[in-house]
Amino acid sequence: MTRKKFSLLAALLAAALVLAACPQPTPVVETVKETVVVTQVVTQTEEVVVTPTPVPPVQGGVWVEGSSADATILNPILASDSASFDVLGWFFPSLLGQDPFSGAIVPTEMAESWDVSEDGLVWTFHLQDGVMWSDGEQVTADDFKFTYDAIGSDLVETPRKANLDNIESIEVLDPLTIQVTYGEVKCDALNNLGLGWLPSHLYAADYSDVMDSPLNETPTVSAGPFIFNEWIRDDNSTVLRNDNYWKGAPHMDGWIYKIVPDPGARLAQLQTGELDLIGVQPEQLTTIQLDSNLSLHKFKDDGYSYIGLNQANPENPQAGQDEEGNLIEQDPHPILSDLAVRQAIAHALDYDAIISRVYLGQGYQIASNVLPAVEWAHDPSLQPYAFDTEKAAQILDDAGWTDSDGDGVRECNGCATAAAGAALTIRLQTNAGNTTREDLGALVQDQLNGIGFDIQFEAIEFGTLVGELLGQTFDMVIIGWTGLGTDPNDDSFWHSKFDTPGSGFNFVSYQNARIDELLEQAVSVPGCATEDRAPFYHEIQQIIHDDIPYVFVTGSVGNTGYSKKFNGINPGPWSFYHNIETWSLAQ
Amino acid sequence: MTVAQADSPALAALAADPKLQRKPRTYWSMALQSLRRDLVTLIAMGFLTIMAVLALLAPAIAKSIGVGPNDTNPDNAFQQPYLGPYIQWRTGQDPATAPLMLGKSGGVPHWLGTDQLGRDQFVRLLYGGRVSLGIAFAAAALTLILGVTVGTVAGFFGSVVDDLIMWFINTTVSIPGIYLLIIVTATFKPNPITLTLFLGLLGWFGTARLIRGNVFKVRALDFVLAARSIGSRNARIMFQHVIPNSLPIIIVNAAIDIGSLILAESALSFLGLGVQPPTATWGSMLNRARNLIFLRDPETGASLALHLLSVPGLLITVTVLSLYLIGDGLRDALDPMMKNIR
Repeated sequence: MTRKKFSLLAALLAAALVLAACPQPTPVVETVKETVVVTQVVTQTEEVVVTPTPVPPVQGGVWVEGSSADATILNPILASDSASFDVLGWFFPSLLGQDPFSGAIVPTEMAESWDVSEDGLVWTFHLQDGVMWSDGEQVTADDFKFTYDAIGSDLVETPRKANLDNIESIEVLDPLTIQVTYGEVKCDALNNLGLGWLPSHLYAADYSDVMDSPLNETPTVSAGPFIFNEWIRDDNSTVLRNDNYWKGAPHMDGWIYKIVPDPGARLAQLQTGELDLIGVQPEQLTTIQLDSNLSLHKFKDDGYSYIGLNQANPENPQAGQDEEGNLIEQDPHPILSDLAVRQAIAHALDYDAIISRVYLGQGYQIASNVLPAVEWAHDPSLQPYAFDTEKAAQILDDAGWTDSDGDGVRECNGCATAAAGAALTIRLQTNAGNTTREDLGALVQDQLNGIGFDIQFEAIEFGTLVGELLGQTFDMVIIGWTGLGTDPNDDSFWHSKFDTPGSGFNFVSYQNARIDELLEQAVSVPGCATEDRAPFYHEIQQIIHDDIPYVFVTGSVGNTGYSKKFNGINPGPWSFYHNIETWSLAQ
Repeated sequence: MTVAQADSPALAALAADPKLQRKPRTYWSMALQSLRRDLVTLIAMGFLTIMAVLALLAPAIAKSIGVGPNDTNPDNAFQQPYLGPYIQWRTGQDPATAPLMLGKSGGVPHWLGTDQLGRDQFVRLLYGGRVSLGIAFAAAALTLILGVTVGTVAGFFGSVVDDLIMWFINTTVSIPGIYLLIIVTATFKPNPITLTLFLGLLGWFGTARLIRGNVFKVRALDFVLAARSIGSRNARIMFQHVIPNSLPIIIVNAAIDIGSLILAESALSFLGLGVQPPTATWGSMLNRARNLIFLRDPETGASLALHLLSVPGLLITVTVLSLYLIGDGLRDALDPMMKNIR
């Protein structure tokens, strides 16, 4: 009996082992078609042809947006989270509009035009006449001044204090004219004037009630397309049509912001029609595409993922500048300060595979630091690094990184930066729990090891990673930037004055005097015309591309799934709702 | 004591009858015999042995298949398990699919398919088994050593020692175990060794309580009194009488413990707090697959990643179930009171 059992066991074991050595069919390579999950990023502009209808647009209908998080406060100068702005954005007028497609600043909101002085320091804005708060008061320059003075007041605690940086004075010349004077020309500062205006006639003139006004919870007065109706925390917010909206009253009755924390539940509710709009997770895309009642808005977002390459020795982090602003010479990284190594890494990664597999098609290769979403500053002629392992290996061979002992890992045999015989061993880190980055790390490790690197990949807790990052004690890191906004100025990533171990965002210790100079010039062009600033950004992109302080992996893509129940929807990458007052129910 | 030395010739004849002669049955041989009749437990033991052997042989198996656990092949991501098409090819039902799959994978048979990076799931499961089973067994051993030592000491000496130990255990046990683990693993970066230590050091309280109770019972039995009366020392009584008589409980407890530890490791990995990628564990594989269940083929609408969710999930379930069944079977076999004597 025992023997029987043992032989059974042995047979099972043998079967399992033999499985690996079974006779195999001859492999056939399929050449007919290739199924790739998603390969192409649909560009943002979709021309929507509005058929001329003789009948007036249908009135009524409600649009329900699903969100994972609820708003926290409905005051435009106190809020700092995107959910709050999703709701409060309906109520408060702002000075400057933003082109929903290019991100450029345009005179579509309160400022209908503006003049700039010769030296670029004094800006005079002329306001729209006849814009009314829903309680009958007119929206005037005083509201703007009140709002920005409130930000500066000691009685108001707000994360927006930096919006006043560099502003010397704000003056009201007449109820419809505002004059803003700057201390020095700083082109990206114009974005700081875009906050929503408070209705000054409802607040105490000394700003004492800004922090705890009931209006922060129930902003009953509106100058936007909708008027606040109700906010049930962690459940929903409701807003109703403003019949006196100055751009024309919306056709729809109202808009609801509904909190549904689980992404799967959001998708299900979109399909059943309980929700009309959700942000879509990459793995949910196919479901949306296969549903004939739903549309997908796919857009290039203002963020990117990259592999940061520490240019300085992680054992000896140093600041980039001394107190007088002179460059401090860095202790170079023994391996990554070698441009050949950085070029080899840039050529060794299969970007198409990374985007289609790791990012599930939700990305696009980028060549440098300015994204195509900032259309005017982006240099489309710059080509991203191509995947070419032979070239990568050749670069390493030529630079003196060869595998002399045959263990599969290259050593320094005459390389420029490391000690002779040092192995090409580099740490690669990312934050644990971000499965996309963990997958990317596993792939990068395998692909770089394939050409003779010895990559030691680990996923560590986010707080620890940020500590290593800002402390500049890492070698290579997989991380990303999000929310870069509409201005291309990203000096905090590259300028040597932001190379401050422990806090600065130039944690790769990138140091290039020409880049410092260009970054400063690009934001101090008098008048700040985009066509004058663009050449500086083009040169910056070229240099960053050539120097490879970052290996740019992919630009982010955003996805919005929405119902087809309204006509006239024309989403842009910077705004989904920019023309909501013209939407009307589909028949 | 023995009947063979009886005075009566009739009894002597009876004793000499070979039909009635049989080996004296010890406690352990009886346990073994009852185990042999328990098919469910034997199957569970067989499954676990196979899993353990396969996990131990993982490098050799990976080599014979021709792919490592972290070898990526993005062009062949989400390949479905090769096992089905291979059987159909062998039986001649479908001569086309298997060669095509091999062609796509570069000649490597991915028996259980590939994951989102084109890594072989079978090989990763084997390597994951090394980590998951290794951690569970090592942590269980640690639990056992600590639990048995502390439990025996508490139960044997009683009074103040027992009060102190039980006070400590009761205090610690009143903190929910999984939260304690989450706090510890979130604070310290876990690798397989530290995770084993965490699980072991936080897992012995129950075992200690169980052993203590049993030691109380054994300590009061007559043979312990007898040993004491002939002057045996505490250590001798403990090792000769108390611990051997607690062995059934210890063994049963160990089997169930290992199962719970595999689940704990999976739960931590599932929360992203276990052993960190790219090292595969069953829990982390399951965790990664969870995000992919919505993923579908844009042309056919077929789910792409079901095999990545079902196989590790099934493996964890069956392994833990096996351990529980073994624990249950061992209890039946080792407890004389529950024995169904035939």
